Amino acid sequence: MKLIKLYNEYMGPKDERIEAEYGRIYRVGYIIFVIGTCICLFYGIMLGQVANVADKPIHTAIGEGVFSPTYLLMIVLLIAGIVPCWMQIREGIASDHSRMAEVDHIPWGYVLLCSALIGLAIGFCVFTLRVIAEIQIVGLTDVLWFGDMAVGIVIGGIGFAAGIICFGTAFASAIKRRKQLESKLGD
Amino acid sequence: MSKNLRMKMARLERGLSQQQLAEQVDSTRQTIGLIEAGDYNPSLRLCIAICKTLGLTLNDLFWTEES
Repeated sequence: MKLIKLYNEYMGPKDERIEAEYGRIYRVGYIIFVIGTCICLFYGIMLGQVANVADKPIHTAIGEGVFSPTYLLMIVLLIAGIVPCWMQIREGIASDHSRMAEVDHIPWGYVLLCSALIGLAIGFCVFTLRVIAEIQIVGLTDVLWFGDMAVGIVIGGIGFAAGIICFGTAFASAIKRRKQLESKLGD
Repeated sequence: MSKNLRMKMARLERGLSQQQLAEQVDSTRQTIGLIEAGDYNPSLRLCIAICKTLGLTLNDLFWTEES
């Protein structure tokens, strides 16, 4: 709680228009996610039903040619993530806190910090989920701790690099769009 | 929504830029610009903050008579 308070103090007050705009943008992402997830779920159920009726065991070589609901879910997640980001950039919004909402140059310190946090979170998730998967499949004694850690570090590193590119591009585009808006509005 | 020229005039009379007014009311320059251009409908909280900063009332800046 103290950390969040410190973060809010450092980032400054929030602009109500940007906050409202954020709400609208995230609502779009949420709707895409919910509808997409439902479609994936129904598709998975339909696949199971058809396979059952046709007496074709889908989880064998017969099912290899079938488009997996997991891939469909990945596409949905990607779209639900990209669309709000694109809308945010188009609106010239990089952050709802005034400290970052009106920057004239890309705040690399902030971008690096956010990317590092994302990289850490991804790395930790990959490591933890792999360990959980291995415990269930091969047992606790055969868990490849260092291997899993290495995979976590590599994927976390990719997440860190992707975070820098995404945040950097988002800030650059938002600054450009905001300047266009400011020149249109005048002073 | 029509332009809020009264707010713009009041701001200019006090020698404030959009940026300076925005900083005093915890907002951004674009939001102030959009309010003046009539493209954003501010909350009561922001309206009061703007009025207090400019030393005017809600009636002075935001009340519109139906024509």
